[in-house]
Amino acid sequence: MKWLFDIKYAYRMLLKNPGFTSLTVSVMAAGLGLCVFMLAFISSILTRPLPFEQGEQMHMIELEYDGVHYNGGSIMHPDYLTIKEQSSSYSDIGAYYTATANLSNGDRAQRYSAAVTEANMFSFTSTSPIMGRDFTEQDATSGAEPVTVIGYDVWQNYFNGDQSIVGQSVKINGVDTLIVGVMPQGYLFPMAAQLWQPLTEDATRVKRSEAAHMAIYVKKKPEVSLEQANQEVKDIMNKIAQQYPETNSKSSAYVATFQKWMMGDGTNMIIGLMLTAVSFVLVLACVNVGNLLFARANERAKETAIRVALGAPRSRLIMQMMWESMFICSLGGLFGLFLAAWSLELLETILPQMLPISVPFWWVMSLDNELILQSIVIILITALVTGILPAWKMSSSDFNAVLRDGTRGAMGKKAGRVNRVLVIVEVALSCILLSLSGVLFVVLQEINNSDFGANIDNKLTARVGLPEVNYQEDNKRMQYFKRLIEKLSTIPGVNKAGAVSGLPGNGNGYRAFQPEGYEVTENQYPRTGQGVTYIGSMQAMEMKLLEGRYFDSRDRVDSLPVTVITESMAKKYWPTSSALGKRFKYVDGDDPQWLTIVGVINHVIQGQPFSNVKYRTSAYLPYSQQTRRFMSIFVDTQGNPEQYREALISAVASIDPEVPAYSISTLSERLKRSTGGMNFVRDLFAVFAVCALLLASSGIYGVLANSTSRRTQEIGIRRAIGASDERVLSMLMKQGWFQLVIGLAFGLPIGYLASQGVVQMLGPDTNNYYIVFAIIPVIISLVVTIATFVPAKRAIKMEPCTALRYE
Amino acid sequence: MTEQVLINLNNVKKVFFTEEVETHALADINLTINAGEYVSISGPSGCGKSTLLSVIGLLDIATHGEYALNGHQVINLKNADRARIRNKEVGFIFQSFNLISDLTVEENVALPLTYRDDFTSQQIKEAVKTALEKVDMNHRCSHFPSQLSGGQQQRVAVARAIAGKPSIILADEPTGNLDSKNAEAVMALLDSLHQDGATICMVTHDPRSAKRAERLIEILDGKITADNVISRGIHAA
Repeated sequence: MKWLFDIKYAYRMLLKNPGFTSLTVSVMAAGLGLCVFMLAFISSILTRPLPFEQGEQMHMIELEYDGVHYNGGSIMHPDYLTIKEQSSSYSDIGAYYTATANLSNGDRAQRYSAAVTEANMFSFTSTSPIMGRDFTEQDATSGAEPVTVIGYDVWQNYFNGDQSIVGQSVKINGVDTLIVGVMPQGYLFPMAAQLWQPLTEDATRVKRSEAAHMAIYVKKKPEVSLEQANQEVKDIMNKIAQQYPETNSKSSAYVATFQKWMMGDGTNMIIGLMLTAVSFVLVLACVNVGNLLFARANERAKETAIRVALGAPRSRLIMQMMWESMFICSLGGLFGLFLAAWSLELLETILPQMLPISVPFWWVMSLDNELILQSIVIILITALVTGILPAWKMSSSDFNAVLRDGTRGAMGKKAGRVNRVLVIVEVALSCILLSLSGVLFVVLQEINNSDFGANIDNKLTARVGLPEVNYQEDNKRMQYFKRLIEKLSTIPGVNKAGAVSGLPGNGNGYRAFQPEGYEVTENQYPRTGQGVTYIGSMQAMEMKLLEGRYFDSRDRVDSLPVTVITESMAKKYWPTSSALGKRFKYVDGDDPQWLTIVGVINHVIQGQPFSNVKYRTSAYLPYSQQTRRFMSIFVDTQGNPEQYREALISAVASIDPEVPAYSISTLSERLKRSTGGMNFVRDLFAVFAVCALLLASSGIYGVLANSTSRRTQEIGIRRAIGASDERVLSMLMKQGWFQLVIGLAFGLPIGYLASQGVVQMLGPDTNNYYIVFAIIPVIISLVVTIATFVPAKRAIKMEPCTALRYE
Repeated sequence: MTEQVLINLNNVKKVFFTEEVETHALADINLTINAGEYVSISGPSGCGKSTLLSVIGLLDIATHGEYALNGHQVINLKNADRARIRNKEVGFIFQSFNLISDLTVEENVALPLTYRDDFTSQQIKEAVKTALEKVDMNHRCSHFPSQLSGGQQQRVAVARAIAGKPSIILADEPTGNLDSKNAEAVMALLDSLHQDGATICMVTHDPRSAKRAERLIEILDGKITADNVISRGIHAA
């Protein structure tokens, strides 16, 4: 129980110095809080097993095309059946594809995300409906009565929690469908599904080129490794490719966890950067607290010497100091945990508004037992890392000299060196983090201000999807959009209305094509985006015409197939002459007809406004010649477009009550969401950087204040023998500046190299981000100068005679 | 009666090396202190008397020579063993008291005992109580050093030195920071301890304090220049 003696003493010392204690605890709370927050975030989106029985074995099989991983349900149904038949790595396997379900009860239509799935999906997740039943083999037979299982939210929101909902019939995409079950609250498998429909046998009765594309869910056998499973599926796909080279020549497949599948490959670097950044913050916090403890250990050199003289074993001396760091880190960790839990709760609330996609059900931003356990381990490691150097130094100092000279213990040369090195490390780390954050800020600012090639102001947008059963014919679809756009145009306050397959900033199909007369070797066709616009929509969106004409009434279903292309496409494929009148055809589908270019418009960004995507070329087809069931509609409004939300919903419902408008938002909001993920990363980095700067400045101040205080007598002597205040001040400032220069010399190049990852990923148009490397040294210099100046000024304020007596 | 040899230094040298400068603090010291002796070491500043005390108290290591404490060679011991022996066999009294300001009187006295494995918490409490009673400071056991006078602080330091019943008490200028009245009280306390059988080795500048010992050793330039037994010192006078 003798260690209680040391614990009591450590506790007393912390209470005795509330300033020191609150500073160090706050520093650790910031460092550990950010670290726990990041771990929880990464665990939630990447590593936590799905919340089902054997969740850790649940994986997805998805398409790998020409070495690129896809995650949109891209494996052809016949290929899925082959994988199911030939694989032995899984204890359960099934497939689904996502669909849009327009739910209508005659009065009101609402759009929901649906999963058209094999019957085993619910047993795969070991989840039963809370009412009714799940799917049976009978439901999947050809000609069976259409049935659906609805989600809890659909039941509560659309059907007001009607207890007799099971057995009722409802129209889904215009088809009478029997509701057979209701799933429990929170069940959204496979990602964000709100209702489920059975995949029928009809899917197997179509030819390969018309087969549905599926996402495959599997439960891997525990004894099979991910590598083995991957190898098996690749082997199977290779055999299929040999059998069907025309459809599968570049196709393979990969097995991944749901989390990895959802996030894609590109996120690894972001996550890596964030982890690195948060590690830096934690290291900074440790260095900071370690430095302060170290300074305190020096202050208490005499106490240590007394303990040594009294026969204290080294282990007890080390533990004495360790208890203090343990207290500081535990308290900081506790506050950090609360801080992280609160931030995660906040993040869960704002995340759906920030992202362009539905938030997957497994993104539960919370601290679970495992994370709390990991946090405790991190806190203990942090306490060890923070306390060990000061404790070691304290226990190995020249205690005899301290006892002999009778002072509190002056800072030795070695101690001063360690302090200086730690300050240099703090300057370098904060410089790296500020560089990353600054570059992200500048580049994303540029991205956020991108010219999308259209006027994005005052546009209210929505999606509409025409049910296949009611809108099989082209002319019905044409009529629908003709009436809808006329209706939308008559809304008071609406200037213009239009319909496009993909709004600026949203992706269009990226298809292989062949310009007329263009030599193509080994099927290496170029690719371009393919969009469809309703007549007048380009003008309504203010896509600027550079050559030729927009689509007009001349472009009918039976007239010459035409296209309008972007300037970027024209310059790339017809650089020496006008593109007008030139022809090309898409080669990867069922529509290999030649399209004649009748107009060239400015470049339009179709997709996220960064990386190579923003430079992708596009070609647009008139809706009359390429009808679609799913289109984005928009209205150009006078004043705030949000005020037209109800009018737009009513206008859409008035044309066909079974076709609802969904995903309603302003175009600027939609575009903001498309970079929401990156902006979230930027904001996180900004928090990291601000924390880093605060930590570094407080640490530098603490250390320099301490070392200046230690030199009070020396300063007194210098002044007593005639040194001017300016000379003494300059001497102390030089010490701080020296450490600043060395820290920047390390930090700036590393920061520059680290930021190149961000630059390469986002591909900014300009080199404006270089300014960051001019501003950051100025900011850090300012902080270090203030942190040096304040204690230095305080030291020379003291009368020389007082300084000489100072202990 | 055969006298038990407690300290035996044989040809001990101590050289300090600092940036190419060698300082010979102790040169060929041969010294024997028997159990129960009261020895005073004196000499001018910088003569090496405190260094000698540090070597005897295992706070410092001799550069050359042999040192037997209680019959055991201690010159080549590891730091941990030296700490253990220091804790058990040696009680220190310093000029500047060297109490830990953030520990109470009771805790200061208990501190060396908490480093020992052969003391239970209860035994520590009892030993602290006995030691404080001996120096008449029991009534201030919950006070912090800053709440005590210099004389009281030195009495607490004495209590700390004797609490573990060490083989020898090493006192380095024990009255150097005290006024004459408090100095006299502390010296009386040391006399009393000696009469109870304690072995005391004291470094002092003060001739009056030195004369209270029964053996007076003088050092100059790191060498013992005189070693005289004074029959009962001041008490004989």
